[in-house]
Amino acid sequence: MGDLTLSQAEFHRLAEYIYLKTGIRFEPGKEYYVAKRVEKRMRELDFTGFGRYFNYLRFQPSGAEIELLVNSLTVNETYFFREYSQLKCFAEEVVPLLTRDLGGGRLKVWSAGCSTGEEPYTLAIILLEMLADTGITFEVHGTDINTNVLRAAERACYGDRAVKDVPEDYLRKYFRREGDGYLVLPVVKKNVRLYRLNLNDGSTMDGMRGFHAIFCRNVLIYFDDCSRREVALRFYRSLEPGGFIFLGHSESMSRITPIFKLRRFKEAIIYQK
Amino acid sequence: MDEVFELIKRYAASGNLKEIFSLIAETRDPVIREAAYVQAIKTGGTEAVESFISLLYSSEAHLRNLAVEALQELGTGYIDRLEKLLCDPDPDIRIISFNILAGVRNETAAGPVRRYLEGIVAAGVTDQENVLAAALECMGELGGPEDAALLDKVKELIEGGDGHPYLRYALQQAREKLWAI
Ligand SMILES: C[S@@+](CC[C@H](N)C(=O)[O-])C[C@H]1O[C@@H](n2cnc3c(N)ncnc32)[C@H](O)[C@@H]1O
Repeated sequence: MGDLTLSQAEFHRLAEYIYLKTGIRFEPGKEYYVAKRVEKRMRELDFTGFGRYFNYLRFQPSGAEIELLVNSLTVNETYFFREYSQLKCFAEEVVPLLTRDLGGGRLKVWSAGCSTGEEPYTLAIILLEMLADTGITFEVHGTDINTNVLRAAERACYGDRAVKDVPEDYLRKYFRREGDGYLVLPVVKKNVRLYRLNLNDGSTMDGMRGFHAIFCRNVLIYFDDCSRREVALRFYRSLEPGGFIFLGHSESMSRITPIFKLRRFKEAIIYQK
Repeated sequence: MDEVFELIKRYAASGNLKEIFSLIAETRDPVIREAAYVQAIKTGGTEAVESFISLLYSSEAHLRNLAVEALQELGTGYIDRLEKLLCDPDPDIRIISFNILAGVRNETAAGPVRRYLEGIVAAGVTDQENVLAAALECMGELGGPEDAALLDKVKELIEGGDGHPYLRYALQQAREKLWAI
């Protein structure tokens, strides 16, 4: 067997390619993390050198290998209060805007690709805090294609790593210790509806209407260009006029589609219908 | 808005690409254009490819850009057709076509670029600077170490001419990329 370790130059070339294809950037310093997974794939496929594997990755018509590799690099990774500054922007700048125009209605927020539930519960906590005493009600929809992660979301019991960014007072207020873990309290859970939904399924997506904000963070990276555009178009239809869409920080809506307006806030740039 | 979406879906279901492309070209509403574009890509096929190729000649930049993206996506099965564009009399079309090929995710996309470079080496005359630079950039994206000899010949050709620094730079960039793997 040849040498399967990645050189600096090989890492750069690969990182640049992954960025081009998916928008995910692996900065220098991530070499070890990336190399381990690439080397595993090379062993599984019996490639003896990086050059050959890289050609296979680039020229395989189905694009399945790049998807597999990227999956193995990201998978269902998520945690509470991920991308804090974006959430701060949602809480302090976007929610007041949305509720101002809402009248007496109900705020509808969607976490699309919610994985094990940290994101929809985070959104529910934020809305409980921001809407207390306003008389405005809300609902958070958490959807995912993977039923295993949805079951975990239903259990709503999390380890230390998942809650590491939860502010101390929220941890006390909205969680209960249970054994080694943290259980999300019913006051949060009752505002969150979890169900399976495939973002590529047109007819189910057509039923998703009336949302004021959609969070689809670190999900579209798994899609090819055309399905990404199609999903973005469906999100557009799911949003109320003036509604907002939040992507992960390595993702850019303007690279996907020109249909959303870009809005600059103090803490973040958000796309709006 | 919903009616237009339904209409586009019906056009697509009945294979009516003509209507879909007139929407793409004529609508002022970016959301409708986007919906029509997505359906055109999903429908695919020769007629869609030819219609997108016609859009490459549009005077509107956003339509040209849309066509480039579409042909990168659909181009895999139409490499021969894209190769013909490399001989288009309009140098801008030749440049755009190299950009398209560079973004097509398929091993065969390198073929036309090699043949183009072999062609100019054989003829002993370079194409316009910008076109050749685009070809070299494309080679850097798609080629492999096996293209070293070809690039050496292109180098001789460039040096034999006035050895334009911009072309030297493009060549150097391409070589570095090929050597990186
Ligand atoms: C990395 S997680 C993102 C979790 C969370 N949004 C965050 O940013 O922390 C990606 C999730 O997208 C889901 N996903 C991938 N493709 C999907 C699809 N076609 N429809 C719905 N969910 C999908 C995966 O199952 C996975 O749970």
